[in-house]
Amino acid sequence: MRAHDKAWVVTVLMGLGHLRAAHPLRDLTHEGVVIYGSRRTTPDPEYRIWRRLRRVYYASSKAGAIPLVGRALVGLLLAVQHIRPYYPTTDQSRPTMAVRFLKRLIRKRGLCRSLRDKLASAPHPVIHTFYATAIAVDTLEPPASTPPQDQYLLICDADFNRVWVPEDPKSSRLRYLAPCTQVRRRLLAYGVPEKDIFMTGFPLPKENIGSETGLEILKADLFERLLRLDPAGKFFSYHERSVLGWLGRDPVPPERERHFTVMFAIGGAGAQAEMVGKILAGLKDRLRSGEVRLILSCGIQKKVFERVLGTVCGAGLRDEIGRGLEIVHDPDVYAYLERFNAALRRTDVLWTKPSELAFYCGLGLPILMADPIGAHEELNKRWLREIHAGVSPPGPLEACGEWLFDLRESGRLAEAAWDGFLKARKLGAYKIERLVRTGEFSEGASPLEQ
Amino acid sequence: MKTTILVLLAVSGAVMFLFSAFTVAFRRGRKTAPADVRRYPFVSLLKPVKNIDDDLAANLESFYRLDYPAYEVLFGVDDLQDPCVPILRALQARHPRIRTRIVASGRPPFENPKVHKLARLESKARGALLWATDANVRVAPDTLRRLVDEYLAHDAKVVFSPIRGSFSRSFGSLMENMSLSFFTSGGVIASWFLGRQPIIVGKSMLVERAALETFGGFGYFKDYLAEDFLIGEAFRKSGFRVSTNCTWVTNVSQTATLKSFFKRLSRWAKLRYRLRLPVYLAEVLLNPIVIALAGWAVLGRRGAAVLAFTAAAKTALEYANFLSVNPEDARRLRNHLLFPAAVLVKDLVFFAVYLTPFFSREVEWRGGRIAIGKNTLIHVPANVDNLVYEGA
Repeated sequence: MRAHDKAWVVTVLMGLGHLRAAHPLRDLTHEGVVIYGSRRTTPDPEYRIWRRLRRVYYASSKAGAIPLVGRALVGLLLAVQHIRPYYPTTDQSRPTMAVRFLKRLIRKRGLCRSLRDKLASAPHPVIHTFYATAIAVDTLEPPASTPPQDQYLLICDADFNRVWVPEDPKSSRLRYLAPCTQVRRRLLAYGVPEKDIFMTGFPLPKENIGSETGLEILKADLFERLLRLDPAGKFFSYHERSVLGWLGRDPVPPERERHFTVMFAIGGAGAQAEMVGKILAGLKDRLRSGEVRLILSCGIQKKVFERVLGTVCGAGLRDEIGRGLEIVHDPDVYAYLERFNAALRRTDVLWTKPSELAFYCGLGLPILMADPIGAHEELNKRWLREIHAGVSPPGPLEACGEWLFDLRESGRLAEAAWDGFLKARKLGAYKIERLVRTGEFSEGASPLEQ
Repeated sequence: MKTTILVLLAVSGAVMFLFSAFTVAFRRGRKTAPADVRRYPFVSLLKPVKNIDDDLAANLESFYRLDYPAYEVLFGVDDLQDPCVPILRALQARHPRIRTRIVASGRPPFENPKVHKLARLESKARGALLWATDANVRVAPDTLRRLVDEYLAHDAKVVFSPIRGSFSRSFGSLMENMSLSFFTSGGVIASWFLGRQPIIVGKSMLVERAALETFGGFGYFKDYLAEDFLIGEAFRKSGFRVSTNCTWVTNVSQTATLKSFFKRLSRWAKLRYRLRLPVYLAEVLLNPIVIALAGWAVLGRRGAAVLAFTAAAKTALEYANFLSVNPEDARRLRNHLLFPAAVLVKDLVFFAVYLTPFFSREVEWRGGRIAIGKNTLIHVPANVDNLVYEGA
């Protein structure tokens, strides 16, 4: 493994998940994150393939909302994305139909051929956050006289389909960046050699962490959050010494802020927009009284933003915008991610489907889990439950004004925040950077080193 | 086939009749109860200006004679070398009691230049209400008061206006003004009163600043060329009330040529095509003279009579609009004499223009060419960073 100052970071705009994984690595990039499949980076015939894939992705994300046939379509989607049970442990390295189909797309249709040529223009290592680009670049012969480049593939979920690994992983040059232990296990089951797996963790935004050794921002935000999430002091009665020890604080202040802040994150495809009306109905009075603040994160699609704004106005809460209610949206992806990360620092509970945002529990955010879409999200949900950082809504959306406050009162949300901080890896961005820059890697043992 | 042609003509005639009836009926606007003078909020008038439009000084002067208690005027120019700047400075000097600012905004290459100016002016504005108007617009003294009355009476976040094209001095400008007063304003008023569908034409729109800021200001629309229509759509979809009391504003066009008329129509046609394709396809029905011409072959000898009748009926409907909506032009005998020819030529030009969006997506605007995509998203060259979702 060689040391490098810069790297290529390659992602796709398919929802926001893959881009969200790439964004914290932007300091490492050679010329900014390469969003493959966008007009800027992709020649016309191939751009059209990606545009079609994107449409299919967005349509399938919203399939559940289609009357009558929605359930059947979601069932079909789950079948396509099916991830084999991990237990009993077996060899799962045999390529699936999806793996062979992808290989055919690469070989016969030249998928990502222009990406290969672009990456060959500078001999930096490459970090991919989407399997198709990684496998294509790994599969296609590099242009003549190009030195071999290190290729890394960052896995963006807590468990994943066989299609993320090439047909013969043992002969591949791909190395894998794993966000959690289950991913390592699954990679081994798919036949990836152990030497090619690095347990880095998911790259979380550095602006929400602080320095690698100090975690100043994360610690300060988390301490304030725990206080807001534990108005009755139940959580601190169990965990006070642990919290003060890990976060380096003393003592627990007697006064607490009265309010807490919930962020509801609508997925990149806008599939959860219809939930907003019910959540607003449930929280309306509490919002007005200032007991809770709500951040609605709408992504980059204007139609989603306008729909959410319409719902807010329809609920008679227009005057709360800028007070108890904040809407996060920007049509520019990077500007949106920056606004989202800034809003996360003010957030006490992250309400989202268990997408890649599940890993954000490492920032000490309790994840309130909306219904998952797809097999990988089902398994992200399971992972969140295993580490106790995820909470399932115990009642209907319309009653969230009741159960959210009960969860807070009981200290369960504070507990989930604390468990996420202790058990999930948070230093992924730093570890990936060091791995690429120096070739060095250490997994870390303590929660402050992972 | 004959029946089809006659049915199409009947439908087209009915729509034309509605356009004419609505514009005539609302030629003086709709009464809104005037507000208590103490309730009138401070208004910032935002005027993007470039070069010297027909009778620019008189157009701008009309905004200094408004019967309204408190307002300011903010001009946005690309740079202070623009030939319009001396006119703006003269106005500023002539009206020291009305706060006037001239803001040079520069011109970013891949943004809607008008929206870019509006966003800059918005940042300098003091008003709770923003009234954006074009430089070639002239208004009556009571215009702003009437718009604000509508805002106060109905809690409307955007108040829009129909447009009267006027001050024709050339054959081209007569056609342009007729098309604005009849086709554009007829569409604006009819779609509002029949379907509550706001078609906002950026010649004049009064916007509540707080509501606009919910979207992040005018900048939210910077990537689209048809910002005016999209503002109406965004506000309506987001649950903000959009309204009109049909307070007309006057678009001054004196020296337009056939070429400039064609270019303007072509630009607007391309925008409509990219905004609502099915509606655009149906627009051919709004051209009865072309339908009658096409039907001539089918209808045989009767075709000529049908065409003559259609042309006469269409001219009569437009003439009714002309007499009631555009008294300024109706004072000139030359306009009356040219009127029938102007109707016929205009409708043939309309048809030629109708076809242009099928072959081109580039529009000419203020000396530059801009390619547009879905929803009039401004096309950014592939070598420029652009991560706006619809363009990605």
